[in-house]
Amino acid sequence: MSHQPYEKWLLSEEVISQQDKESLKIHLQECKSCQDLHYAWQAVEQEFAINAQVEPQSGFDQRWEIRLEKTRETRRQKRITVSIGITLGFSLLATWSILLADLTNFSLSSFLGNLFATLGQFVSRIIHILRGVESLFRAFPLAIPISAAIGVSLMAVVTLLLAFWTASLFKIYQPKQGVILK
Amino acid sequence: MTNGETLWIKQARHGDDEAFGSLVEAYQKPVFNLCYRMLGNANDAEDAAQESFIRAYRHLRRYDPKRSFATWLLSIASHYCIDCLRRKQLPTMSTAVIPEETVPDTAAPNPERKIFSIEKQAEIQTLLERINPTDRAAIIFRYWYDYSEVEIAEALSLSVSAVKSRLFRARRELAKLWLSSQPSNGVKERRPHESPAL
Ligand SMILES: [Zn+2]
Repeated sequence: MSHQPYEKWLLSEEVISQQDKESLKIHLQECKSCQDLHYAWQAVEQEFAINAQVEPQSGFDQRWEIRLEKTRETRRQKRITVSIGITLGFSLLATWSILLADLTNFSLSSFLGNLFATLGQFVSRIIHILRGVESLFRAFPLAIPISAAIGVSLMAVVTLLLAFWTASLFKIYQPKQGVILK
Repeated sequence: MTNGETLWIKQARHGDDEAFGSLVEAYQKPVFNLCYRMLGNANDAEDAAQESFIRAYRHLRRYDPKRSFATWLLSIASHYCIDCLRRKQLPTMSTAVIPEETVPDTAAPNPERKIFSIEKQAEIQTLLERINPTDRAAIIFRYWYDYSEVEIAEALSLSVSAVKSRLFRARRELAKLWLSSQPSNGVKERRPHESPAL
């Protein structure tokens, strides 16, 4: 015996026509399965009607405040760990790149020798540039105030960028204030 | 939603933690009740309710003030509970013990009636815990929060037709579970004319 659409009529919230109601009534008199389903659902629905709300133990909001603080601390620790991990990773990668660049001919003494030679070259180039600028100023004294203005502006920009960078780092790693509850 | 709650939401969205604390205080009971009905024990319910508020706090900017805040919050809680149940594969049957102090004292000073109520609650909880988590959430929204099928669809991110078929399936399953838990002659006590549907 087919129990559709009777089961659907019994268990959904659809409003059914008078004719369908009659048809359902007749089916219920004949069908034990639909009868049982109908009475069982009525019983369950009656129990649902009690509708009791279960409440948390007192102090839920205080416990939530503590949990929020813990969550923040965990996230802060995670951010620090990730930052350290990235820095270490890059450092290791850079070191390995240098070492692997010429691994076959690598020796510590030649590596250090090259490093010092490169640094020496860099310093001598800086001195060379500074001397060139100095001789330029001697030849054109008017260029001095203009260059000074540009220099000061550049320094100001660099200082501002440094301040912004420091403030950003401080904001990232500073824990937020705790929640104050009423 | 009261004017005070609207203001708290607005303030909390601008970083006022105290305002969010007021929202926790106002909504702790419905959120906890939903988690309890979903998970079946007070410890898991407390954890899930706390976590739901943490998630709401973190994603408060995503809340659309044109929608109901309660529905948004309960939606977070129900999704979290469904995820927990799927992840942990919690057993489908539990002892469903309800701590006495958490059951509201329903105009019944009579201790016998109170014990009866606790037993009934445990029975309901046992039935609920045996159905699929999303179907369970739909039933809880329908019977504990009086949500319409449209509101349930919104809370569970489902289509209205999906909610209808889930509710039908859940009712059928609950009725069959109830039948199987009754003594064989328990059903025959009623007569067909008792049905309000007829
Ligand atoms: Zn039938």
